[in-house]
This record gives sequence, structure tokens and C-alpha cells, in this order.
Amino acid sequence: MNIAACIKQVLDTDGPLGIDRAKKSIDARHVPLVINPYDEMAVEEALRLKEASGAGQVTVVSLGDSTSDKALRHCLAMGADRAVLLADPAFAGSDGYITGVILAKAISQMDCGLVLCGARATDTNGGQVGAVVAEQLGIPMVTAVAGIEVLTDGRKITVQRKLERGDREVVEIELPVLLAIEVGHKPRYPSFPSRVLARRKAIECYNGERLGLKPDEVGAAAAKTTILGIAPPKPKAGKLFAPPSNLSPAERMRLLMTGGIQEKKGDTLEGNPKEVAKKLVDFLQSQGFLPEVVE
Amino acid sequence: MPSNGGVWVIAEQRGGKLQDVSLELVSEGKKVADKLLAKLNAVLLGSNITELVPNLAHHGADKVWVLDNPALANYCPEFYTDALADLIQINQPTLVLCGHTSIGQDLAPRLAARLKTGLVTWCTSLSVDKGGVITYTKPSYGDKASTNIVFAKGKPQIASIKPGIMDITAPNTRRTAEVIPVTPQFSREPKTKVVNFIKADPKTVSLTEAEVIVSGGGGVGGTENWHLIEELAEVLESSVAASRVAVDAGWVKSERQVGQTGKTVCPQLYIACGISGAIQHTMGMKDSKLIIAINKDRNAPIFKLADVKVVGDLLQILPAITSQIRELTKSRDLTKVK
Repeated sequence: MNIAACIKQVLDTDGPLGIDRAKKSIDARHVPLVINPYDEMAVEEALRLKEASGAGQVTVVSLGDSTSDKALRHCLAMGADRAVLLADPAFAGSDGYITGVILAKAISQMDCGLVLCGARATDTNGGQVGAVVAEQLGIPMVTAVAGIEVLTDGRKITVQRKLERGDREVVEIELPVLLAIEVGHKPRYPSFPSRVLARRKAIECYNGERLGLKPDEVGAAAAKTTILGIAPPKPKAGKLFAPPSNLSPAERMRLLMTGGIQEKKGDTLEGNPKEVAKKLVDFLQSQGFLPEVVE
Repeated sequence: MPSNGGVWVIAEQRGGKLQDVSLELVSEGKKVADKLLAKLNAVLLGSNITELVPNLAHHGADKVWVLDNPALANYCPEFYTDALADLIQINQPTLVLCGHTSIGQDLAPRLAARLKTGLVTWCTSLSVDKGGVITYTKPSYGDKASTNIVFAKGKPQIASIKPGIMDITAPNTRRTAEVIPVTPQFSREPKTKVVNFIKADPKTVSLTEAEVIVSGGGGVGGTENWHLIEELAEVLESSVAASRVAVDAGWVKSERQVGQTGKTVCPQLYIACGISGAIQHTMGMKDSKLIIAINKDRNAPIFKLADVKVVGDLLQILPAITSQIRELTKSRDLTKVK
């Protein structure tokens, strides 16, 4: 089975990030570029599925420009068979929706049973592109994927989905399908020889014409949303703490220095350990914390 | 910008219970609708859910669309998308808001993709200017920046709002809403089939996702006593955590550490056993919904945070609690057998 993995190159958000207040944009001069961590996980999952089945190709696809070369070669070094760069000056200003449309056009020209992408990109924090790709390709999508297993007949897969509080849901679905990866294996770190080999591989480059997209269908001209500006985050409101004025200066000082932890007026239990335990158990029961008996 | 299409919010219910985020959406949606001189519509999807309508009306909904079908009782991505996309295409709202919950995160992108429009996820605030243009603000770049977004071409505008941010306005119990029942029909089976549900194992679940945590500190006294913490955690079907003292002493693995150099947790219940409550620890757990502290020292700072303060020797109290809970669950076992 052939697998396509969509990747995006993003600014590394782990390090410090300057914001140009005048231009209302990120000052990207000193920020390294990395593969979006969720997308890197998607590539890792794609490679593991390919290795498990022993057949098929993994193609990484990215919408970008000449700087995306680094991210695509990294994926080739990880073990991807093909790298496809979708680049065209007309693509500039594409929003999440248009990005999805362009990626879907490219993937529709490949023969893929499975399309993988990250749950969201760490820069725009959107999480929209996967859904657009799936909708445009007319295939179903599973989000919040936390584990993939291809069933023996090779036509169906089961997928674990991440729910709240650590719970998981297992869904079964027929191929082809798009999976948005939320939790995955740690991406492999390519060896030096494989990096050298990856430098010699060709990266296929598709422009708008090759994809059959007209200039007015892509880029800022077609985008559904526009970014007005990027600003430093507002400081969190309500965190400023003013201690009550009726306290002694020493107490107020202490409250300020401990981050304003105010004493709760809780009940105090003490005495015979058995009785204390009884009261506590009754309390836990009344609050509904005692586990239900599993039938 | 035309605003006659109205403001729509997608109310979220789980198991027939209206979620808090729905009231936050209705409250915020009402403010936006007033500025756009539009009506606020709420959409409820589920099965036998008309009793949830008044609560939505009290907080500001003018119209409530009730999509009633047993197939919608629980969230089903394909059916919810189909039903909502149809309704939205017919009624052409200006703006559709939903919560950025596990459901909304899945639903909003599907809906936007189906309707061929844009989407702002993780939205933390929206403002309407005099011309009726709505600016959406969301965190980006790993919370190190915030992005302001407007809709250029996309219609309707769709945004998923981060839960817990918008205020819930005081209910007006005299308000009523027009109820529009819709009975969506589904002629196909969903392509995705839920085959299993795996409940999180408290022993292995990440502390940040844990619901109940039993945490031990230096007061436990030694590795020979650590089983008391583990046993209590087991009968409560909860997760074990520790303060730095206990981790440094090697009683428990460092991945279980709560505090400044460990994890920040926010469980429903946090039981601190023999933890004095140094700020380095309390920073990581002070937002727990309910805190029970057990400590020998009645002046321990942890008691300032505790909802229930137990002064006493945990070596005697913990086994007593554990055995009493065991008795209770055992007796319930027996009644079930009969």
C-alpha cells in the first residue's frame, strides 16, 4: 500500500521567538526551521506501516518554497521513498483551506491507500488542513489518532483515538482514509549515511499549472481567511493577586511571595485513626469518588 | 457585512447532559448577535433532548434547532457533519461557533471543509467592529504569540472557541426560545465504526490526564511504607504521584513527580499524604478541584490549600481508609451477587 504523508516546515517554537510589533509578524531571522512535530510523527507512522507490510512507497508532500528542501530531505533520510514539493509564487498567502485544496490535488495524482498528516501545525495551531484534504479527496478522516494497526486483509485498519482523560476509542475503517496523528512513536533520527544519500535524491517539484490549479484559485486571492497580524500574547488576566488589606503587612507579604495561595476554610479531622478514616471514607463516598463495582 | 443570517452556536451535549461550554457559547454568541443586530440560534443534536432547550434560552438563545435522531445520541463525526452542513447550507448563518472540545476539534474542521469555508480554531476572543467585521484572536506559535484573523471570502464564518474562557451570563428564567424541530434522516451507515472503548488505566495514564491522584511525600517515611500509597490508589482506582522528596529518595519513579520540576496536575481529587506543602510542590497541584491533606504536623503549609485537613499519622490512617473502602466495595459486591 502506498502512503502519502503531508508535512509542513515551521519555525521551531521550542526556543525564544521574537515578534516584530511594527510589522505585526514573527521576526523569523534567528529562529531555526523544523518539521512540524506532529507531521514528523505522521512520517514515522507511515514508515513503520510500510516496514510492517514490506511493500508500497511512502511519499512526503509539502506545500512550501525552496527552504522546504531541508525538511523534505530529512524525511528522505528517515526513509521516505519520494519527496514532492508543491511550490508556486501564486501559492503565497494560502490559508488552511487553500493549503488543503492544493495538497489534495497533488495527492489525487498519486495512488495512495492511506494519507497521514499531523493533528495541527505548531505555528498556526490550526488543525484544519487534514479535513480539507479528506473532503476534497472524498475519503473519510479519523482525527486524534494515537495508534494504527492494519488488519490482515490489508483493506481495513483499526485506529486508536485519543479522548479526554487518557481514554481511548478504537475505530475500524476501510481504506482509503486520512488519519490526523495526535500521539505517535518518537520519530527516528536519521543516520549520517542516510543523510548523505538523501542529499543526492531528487525532490519532485509541482507548480500550480502541473497541479491543474489556476492562479485565482490559490494563494491570498482565494484564501477564506486573512491574518491581520500577530502580536505577543496578552498577559493572562486575573492572575494579578492583591492580598486583602485587613491582613497584617507580614501576612500580606507572605501571600504575595507564595503566589497568592489563600487559605481554604476546610474541615479538620483528627483523633482516633479509625474514626478519622471512617469520616474520610464517608466524605469520599458522598463526593462520588469511591469506584463503582465492576460487574 | 450582511448580518441577517444570524449567529449560530452548536450546543454540545454528552449523554443527554448539556455541557458548560454550550452555555459559554450561547452567552458569548448573544453578545456578538446583539452587535450584529442578529438573532442567536442554538443547534442541539441528540436524541430526546428537548428538555435542554430552556437552559439555552435562559442564557440568550432566541431560536433553538433541535435535531433529534437516535443516530445523533452520541457524537458521530459523519452524521453530525452531514446534518449540520445541510442545515447551515439552507439557512445561511453569518457565523457558526462551536466549542474547541474533543468533539468540536473534530467537528469544526469537517464542517468548514464541507462548506468550503475558512475556520478559526482555538479561538480565545472575538470582537465586532462598527462595520460588523469580526476579528478572531487565537494563540499560535506554541502560545508565544496571538494571531488576529478575519474572514476574507469564507462564508459562513466558523470558529471553535476554547472552553472555559467566555463568561456564562446570569440566566434569565423568563426568556423563552422558538423551538424548531428537525428530523434528519440518514440513508447510510457511517464509514467509521467504533469497535472498542479503552478506559484509561490509572496506573499508566499520564498524571496530567489523571482524574484522581494519591500523592506521597517525605512523611511516608521510607520505601517500606510506600505500599500504603499504592494500595490506597488501587482501591480508589486512581494514579500514584509523589513530591520531590519521595522521588529523590527513590521510592517512586520521577515521571510521577508533581511540582515545579515535575508535572502540573489538575485532577478532580488530590490526596496529599505526608507532603508538607513546599511552594515547589503546591505550584504543581494547587488547581486540583478537591484537595485532601493528611499530615502529622498541624502547621504544615499544605493544610492552607486543603479542603479537608487530616491531622494524624498516615501510617495508621492510610491502612484504615484502604481497608474501609475495601469493605465497602466488597459488601457492594455481595449485594450484587444476590
